[in-house]
Amino acid sequence: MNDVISTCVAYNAERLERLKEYKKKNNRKIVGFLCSQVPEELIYAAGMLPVRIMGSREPLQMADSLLQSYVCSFSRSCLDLMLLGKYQFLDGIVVPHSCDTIRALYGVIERNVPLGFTHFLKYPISLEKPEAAVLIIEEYKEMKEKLEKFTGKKITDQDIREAIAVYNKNRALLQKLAAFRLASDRRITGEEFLEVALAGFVMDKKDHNILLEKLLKDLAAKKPLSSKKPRLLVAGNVLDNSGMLKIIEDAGADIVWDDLCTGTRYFGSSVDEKKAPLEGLLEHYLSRTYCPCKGKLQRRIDYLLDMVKASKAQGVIMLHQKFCDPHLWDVKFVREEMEKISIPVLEIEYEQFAGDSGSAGGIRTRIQSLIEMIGGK
Amino acid sequence: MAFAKAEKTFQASVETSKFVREDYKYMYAAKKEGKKTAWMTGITPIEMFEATEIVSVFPENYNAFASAKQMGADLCQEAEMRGFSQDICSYGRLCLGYCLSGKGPYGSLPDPDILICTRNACATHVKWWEAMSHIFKKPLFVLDIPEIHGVPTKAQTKYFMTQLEKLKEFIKETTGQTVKDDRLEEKVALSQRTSELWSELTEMRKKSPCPISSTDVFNQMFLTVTKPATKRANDILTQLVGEVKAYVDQGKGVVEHERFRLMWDNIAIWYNLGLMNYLQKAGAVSVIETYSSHCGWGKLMDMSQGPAHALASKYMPGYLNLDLNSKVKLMQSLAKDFRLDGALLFSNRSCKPYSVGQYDIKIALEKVGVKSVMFEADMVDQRAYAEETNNNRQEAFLEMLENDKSAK
Repeated sequence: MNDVISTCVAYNAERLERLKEYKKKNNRKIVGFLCSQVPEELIYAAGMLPVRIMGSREPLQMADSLLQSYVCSFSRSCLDLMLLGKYQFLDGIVVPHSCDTIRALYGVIERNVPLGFTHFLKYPISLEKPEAAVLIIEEYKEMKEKLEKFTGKKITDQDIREAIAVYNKNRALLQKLAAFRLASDRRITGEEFLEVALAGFVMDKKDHNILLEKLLKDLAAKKPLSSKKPRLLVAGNVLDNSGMLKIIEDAGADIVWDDLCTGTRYFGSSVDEKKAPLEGLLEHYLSRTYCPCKGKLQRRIDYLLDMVKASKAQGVIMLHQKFCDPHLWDVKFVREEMEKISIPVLEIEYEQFAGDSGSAGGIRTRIQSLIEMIGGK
Repeated sequence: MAFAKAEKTFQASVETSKFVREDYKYMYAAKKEGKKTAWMTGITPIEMFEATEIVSVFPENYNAFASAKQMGADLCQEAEMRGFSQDICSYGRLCLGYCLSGKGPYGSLPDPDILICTRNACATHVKWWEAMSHIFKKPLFVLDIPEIHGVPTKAQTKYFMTQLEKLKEFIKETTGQTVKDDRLEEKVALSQRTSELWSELTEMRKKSPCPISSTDVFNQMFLTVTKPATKRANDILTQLVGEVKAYVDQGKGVVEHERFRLMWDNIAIWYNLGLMNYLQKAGAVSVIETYSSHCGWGKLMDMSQGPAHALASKYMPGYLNLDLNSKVKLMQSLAKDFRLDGALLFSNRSCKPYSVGQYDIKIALEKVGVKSVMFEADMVDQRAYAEETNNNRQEAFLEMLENDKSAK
């Protein structure tokens, strides 16, 4: 394994300890966020480190006392870690109005986890409306003011521009790396890619950019991987560990593209640096949204059809947290459209602390059937 | 599995049931005559549509009706058989069940010409209405209302008002009908009258013994949800207020010996409204519901700045669109105002905005001396109802309340 990839894998495995150390060493405030709707650049511009709150695969210890079993395992796991004090290094959180569960989870965190700073982005759902853009700008301003009040430091346009530059660079590098999964020039597996992307959510983007530049250089210098396996696109929600992608690729397929919240949905576009900073951020966050929590069903279907064609995927795996309403609603419609172009769709529901035992065996068998179906073409 | 029917107390409830049957007859007949039909989510500014000739259809109301007829599970299965997950909201599943199979108490509903969806309860509404727009190939309007923290911000109100204007344009474009200002004003005034009567009713429920319980109130919600801007709703509610007032004047309660005053939290369990009678037999009366009184329906509007503003004050800050801290505050004040002994927290698999956060509400109620019992079920899919477990839990809860009372 490439040493940058192994660095990322090791970092992810102990990300919470590493962040704790980082904070101590750098004396920098850390703000957690949920969902890729949050304009992290504003937090970064305020001099703090934005990190994505993610769960673990450990069994729950405390969250069941505050969240029902029909809440997705990601949310339960995140809350569990917070209640256990594993996120004690957080100075604050920012959560947007996205799905019904994340929205409600914010309230539960606010009431049960001691934090210096909490902010809820009252985000619209009809992002295509011009009046929604007006509201979002106001929301950005409110968030910015609250951040300024919290840090006691004014956020200038220049601060935001600098943050945007760092983040744009990160997005561009991730886009390049993502393309190294394609069969035409495959140099990284889907599993490895996710590990590298995940590390970027929990470290300073400047540090992540250094890792990405080195990795891209290393990979370009090497021979491409063999790419004769069936090609799959994985679409789904937030995926905070690569376990499921490993199962898929170990079963004998190549993940050549993704539509994940912790994948291409996060870095698929960039901020126009020529625009006024908040306007630029707005345009970016509106254009990159193909999440089932926002925007229109047809738009997402069209996007997925395009991605399947562009990546030459032969099948789609829809990978969902059990009880993830927004994604579950889309399954039937995405499946019907994919079938029209003879792309088989396999839906997999999982709970993240189920581990590799239990359902994993059944999942493997279903993936193998999909692979056989594609291979038999 | 069939559950016991609810036994209603008041004559006005019979009137409402009559109104329901006639209204459904009207819907089908009007569709046949070629009138335009709008399917709308539960907390839609219906006043706007009452100001036109458009026939308003509330699939959620029909869901409740189908479920009370014990058809919930079957209709949900019709949707599941066609590829919808069993884990999505059962209101959505049940509705798609009748849309796609044509089965239901009266078959499916008259097909929509337009679809209207609000996001002041859940994001699920938007997914569900989008699915229907996809299936029926009919235009959809989403009135998007992001979560309110305490009170709406200026920007949120502006967002609502702009969309309300665009809703008028949408109605005009898709149905050719105009929402005239004077008609809207008239309908908002009727709706406000409904709210006044509803508030009067709610106020009387603070009395001990409580004159009217959830059994009748859930039934009457047909008026506040789907017909608030009609004269007939005003008339029935006037009758109901009169009947209930007579109880109050006589010091009469809905049960002979009121032992415990309870709150119902969450949507009604439509296939098992008989549960209320079961509790009432033990002297336990559900005296208030967040569902009937704080989701927007029957809410007194701010009439000081015209109809659009009035609608904003009604449809933006409902219970399901509030942050958890505001919900908790409201719950604690209800506990005090209604002198509650306990709360029934129905943990509803199908409604995350209602249910996620209920443990915090449980803790907060306990802090003001109100114990509660939480039990898991589904509002229309009776397959998710464990009758024996729930009965045992409720019985144990009443015993606990009894012990507490005896100890005082």
